Amino acid sequence: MNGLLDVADLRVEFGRHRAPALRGVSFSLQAGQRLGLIGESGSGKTVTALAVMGLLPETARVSGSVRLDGRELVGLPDAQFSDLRGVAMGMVFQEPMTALDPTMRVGRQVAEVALLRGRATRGDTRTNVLQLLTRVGFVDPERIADAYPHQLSGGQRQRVVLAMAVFNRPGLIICDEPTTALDVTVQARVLDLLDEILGESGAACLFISHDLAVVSRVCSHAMVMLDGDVVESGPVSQIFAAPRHPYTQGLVATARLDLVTPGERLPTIEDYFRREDFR
Amino acid sequence: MRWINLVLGTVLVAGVILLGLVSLAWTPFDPTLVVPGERLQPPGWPHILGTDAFGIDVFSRIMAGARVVVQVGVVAVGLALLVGVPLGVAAAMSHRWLSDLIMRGADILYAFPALLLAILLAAAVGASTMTAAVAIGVASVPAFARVARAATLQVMSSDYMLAARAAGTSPLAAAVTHVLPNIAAVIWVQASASFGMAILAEAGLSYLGLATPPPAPTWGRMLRDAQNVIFSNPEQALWPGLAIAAAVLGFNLLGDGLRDQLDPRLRDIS
Repeated sequence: MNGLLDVADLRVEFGRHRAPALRGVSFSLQAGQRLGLIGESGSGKTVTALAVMGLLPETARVSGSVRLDGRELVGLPDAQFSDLRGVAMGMVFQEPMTALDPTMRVGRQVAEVALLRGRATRGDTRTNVLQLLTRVGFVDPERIADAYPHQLSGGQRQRVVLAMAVFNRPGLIICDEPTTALDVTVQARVLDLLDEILGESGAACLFISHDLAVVSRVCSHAMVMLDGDVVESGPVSQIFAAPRHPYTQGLVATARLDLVTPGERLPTIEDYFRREDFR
Repeated sequence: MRWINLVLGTVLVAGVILLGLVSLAWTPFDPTLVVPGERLQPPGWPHILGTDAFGIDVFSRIMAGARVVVQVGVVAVGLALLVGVPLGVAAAMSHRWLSDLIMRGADILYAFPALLLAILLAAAVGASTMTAAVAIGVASVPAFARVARAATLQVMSSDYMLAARAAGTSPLAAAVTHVLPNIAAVIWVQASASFGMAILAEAGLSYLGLATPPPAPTWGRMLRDAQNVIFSNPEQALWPGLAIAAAVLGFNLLGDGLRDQLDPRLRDIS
């Protein structure tokens, strides 16, 4: 495996007496590839993302290997990790309501990301920030830049968060349920924007979601996680057309409501997969 | 209605500060000059608040006392802020053992009341305005450290802090750009409440003779002097008492008002 991101046998534990959060996850992401990470709450999606970003809390014990461009990240000192974050990899968080500092104007928060790298002057930065805000679809970037986060809507905030994540043109963008907190129409717009930005910059994307429809829209490949394990992975079309693992079969069935005969009971995951049999 | 707090607080605090400043250059009478022939004059002219049991002009003493109040408040709260807040923020952001060390140290300090510290300091270097201010300040450090730590922990667990880290911000930079602005509102309230408490504590200490030595006038000593004539001339206790109450109220209202103005979320509610 020699991709942009190579994860091998990644295990994460929080304390000895708790079940491991990740039980040996392996996957590979090529440059420009978009990989969807599907699973229910607690399946280890976010832990995987945070492990790649090196943002797990101190209490987490991480083993295995995470390689970005061939460089081993597990065990990397935080100072060196800091230099990679935002530059080599960026992250978009789930809750746009809380991912922005409420006491800081939006423009300054975006600019912070640029000033952090110490290569921009304040004047340049302002221009860059306004350009970037225009880029993510704001028609009045001046007003947005001078607004506080609480003065923006959820969709607007998520576009700001997206702008921050792509500011330094990272080669890998991790999106942790970026549209879950948004309503469906706003969700579609943010996904279009993400699609556009990814296409333009050629960045790879690790896209976390519990929503199969969203994943199929953004990603070419997908990986299904359950209780800290990867149970199935492959091209999105294949996973949808011929899911192999019973859990995935359940997921696909519950997502295809158009196949249900009106009047009949809706399918549940338990129709296909019983957790007790799994372990 | 929110701005009423701010306006009233500003007026009261500005009044205290103005009285103190003017007293540096001018008071109607010498605030330490004893005139036996003019003892316990009622309010009128030229002594607008009358004279006390020593024949000293009460208004002049109140003015000179305001100076001490401001001095003690600024030194005590400044000390508590400068020491307590960095300690609290550091405790919240550092490893567990260091955090425990800082907070247990604060607990030990918490066990010493300002009064005990003031007695210790007064015994060691002699009672003065400064010893009282330092004692009150040191005694307030744990409160600031705790409040700062609790507020910082909340900020640390926030998504925007994680987002800032994901964007490559170093912990120190994050503390300056994200933690301090977000805990400022809580710290302001603590500071304004502490300012009021410092004024009260100073009055108590000078009442006990553990702060500013005589003959310099303070509101606490005026209360003590008034104690001797409390039944015949109760108004003697009224003036310094009112001054203390107004100053404490002023700083509390100012703190509340400032917090509302400093926090962009609260600012828009009004």
